Amino acid sequence: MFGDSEIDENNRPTSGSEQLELTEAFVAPWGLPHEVRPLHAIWSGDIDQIQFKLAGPIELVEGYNLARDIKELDQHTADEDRIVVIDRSELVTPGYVSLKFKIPKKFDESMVGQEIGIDFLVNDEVVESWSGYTFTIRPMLELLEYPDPFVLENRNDVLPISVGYIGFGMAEVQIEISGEGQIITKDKDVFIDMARAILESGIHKKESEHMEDIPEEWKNDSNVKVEREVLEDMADGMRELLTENRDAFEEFDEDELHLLADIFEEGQENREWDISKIYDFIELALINSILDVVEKNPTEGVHVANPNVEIDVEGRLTEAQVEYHLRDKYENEYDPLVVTIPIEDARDSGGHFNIEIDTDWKSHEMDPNEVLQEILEEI
Amino acid sequence: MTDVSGTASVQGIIQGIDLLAEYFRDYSPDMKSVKYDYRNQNSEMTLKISVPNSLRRKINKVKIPIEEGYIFDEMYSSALNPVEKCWSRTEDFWILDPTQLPSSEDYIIKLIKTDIETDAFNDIIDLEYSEDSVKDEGIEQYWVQTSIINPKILADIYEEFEVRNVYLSINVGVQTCFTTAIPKDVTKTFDRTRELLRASNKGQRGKVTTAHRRRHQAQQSMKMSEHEAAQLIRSLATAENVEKFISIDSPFRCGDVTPTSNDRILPEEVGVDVNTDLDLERKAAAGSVKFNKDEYTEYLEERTDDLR
Repeated sequence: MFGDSEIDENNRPTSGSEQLELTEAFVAPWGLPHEVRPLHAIWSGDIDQIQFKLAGPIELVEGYNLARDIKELDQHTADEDRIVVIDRSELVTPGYVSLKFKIPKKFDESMVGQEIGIDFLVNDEVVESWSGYTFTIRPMLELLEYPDPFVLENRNDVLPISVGYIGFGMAEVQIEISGEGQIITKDKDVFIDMARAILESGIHKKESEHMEDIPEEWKNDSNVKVEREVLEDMADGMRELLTENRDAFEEFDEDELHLLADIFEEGQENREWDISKIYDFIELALINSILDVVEKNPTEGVHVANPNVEIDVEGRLTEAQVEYHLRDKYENEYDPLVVTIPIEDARDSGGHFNIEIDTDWKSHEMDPNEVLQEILEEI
Repeated sequence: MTDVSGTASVQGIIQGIDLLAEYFRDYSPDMKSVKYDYRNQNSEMTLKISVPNSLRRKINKVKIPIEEGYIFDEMYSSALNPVEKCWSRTEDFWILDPTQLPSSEDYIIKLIKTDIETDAFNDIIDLEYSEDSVKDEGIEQYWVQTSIINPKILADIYEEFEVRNVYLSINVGVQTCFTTAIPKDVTKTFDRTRELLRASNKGQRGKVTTAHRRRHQAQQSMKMSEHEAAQLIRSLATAENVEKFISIDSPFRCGDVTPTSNDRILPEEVGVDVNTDLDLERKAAAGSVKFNKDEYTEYLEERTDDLR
């Protein structure tokens, strides 16, 4: 559908004229809601007027090679389409016009097509026509499976939920869980993990009683080693985050932030701790990062901001609600997928427990050609 | 996606042209052509001057300050004979001494201007590309489009105008290829190693022992150490390995392919540079970037199979 031949086939001129030659016409074949998309036409030969026929939700944003602001052009409606009229005198140079538009509407379907037509007129007669489609795409989620009820048997149970991805474009997913008790969502940012690990270790203290070396026996055995250069890059990244995004470190107090700043300060020859130990922690964070990539991108088309969601509860829980918040790459937000799960506490005693949400992501890849065919049949 | 927000103003360019013309004001400068190189941020300007064999030729010199960024490139007489001896360069100026010129009246001069600010291009060229891709038959596609914002002003200034290497970079997501391709028992080994490092860093001796045992079990399924595995995985995302799976429609060309790992061992995206040329004949261009995702994933699967 979106390949060369298909674009040509869909967009070829529907009638011809000897005087006018349409060299090229293009409309962005797809876009997300609110995303600015281009449209242009290049032709040779004389014309008196061009008329753009735009389907209802299309809004023009900007135009190039026009003598007037795009919003001041003559417009009228016909059969739910908007007709935008550009007279020859309004083209600054002949043979070219470039427009930008957007569709500020979120649809319920994964792909919705809007037609754009261009008519070239001489003496009030159409001598050449062209039409093309622009499709508004969106990602979608569907609930496939979940336990009903979920029987809680241990203090650390895993709650499996199966969610399917359908539609088009990247689904940016944020998982939230709510229920009775104290809910904790854990986001595994690699630098924050690193900062936490470093502060917990007491590495900054000269003779820390908490400090434990990574045991030589398994270190030799494991051969875990990341190149020094990569470790130094990570330290640079930490420095950058510390100086440019202090908000990311809101969990740490001023003293801790000062300590982190001192630890990552460059060129301190007389530091009281061994810099190689810092790199050990960075190595840990790097290994985490491999796993993060795998966990955060569970299936085709889905990116999960917080893959390891846990619920910590004091006491008993009768119901948990898991929400999958969905956004596209243009930051359009869609209705969340909400899963309400009744919980049966089958443990012998109550008290603190922890449930990890384990989402099994399944991707149902859609064939854009099939969707296009359906749309065209409807039209 | 709007990469560059163009305005209808090309004031910066006009000022630059006016300034250059001013240096040649005594010799009726006529701007013939300009060829911008978007990517390399320079321009090649060709202008015609008339130097009558009169007193004016004997008393005037053209002095272009070096700090303006112009570099003399070539000069020809109307008979297309090279004329270069009349140009000299001092610490502060490029100097044209007309007394050194042969008897011809009209001359063509080519000058190069370097370090053109990106903003100047924003006024000339608009670049758009799709924020997100659509996957069709295993191939992920992104559309790209570029257009000249105000061809009239440019046509008024130049007989010939060209912008070469109109350039943009598209980030193609490769993370799910790795997610799909890396064998589960390999990620499990990494997971166990993380567990062990955590326990060790926190000084939890009991947990270290357990984690060590679990990791040892997981490792049985791997042929190599995590270090070697990480090296291998990273090597699969080099530009050389990824670019084989990328194609671009004419009139666009593929430039550099740069994996961006954002401090992570596995790359999340690959930057693909896309170039084309525009001129007063071809005022706009459109095409698409295609990433054969399924084939790349298959390639990763074949290679990461060696890990176990």
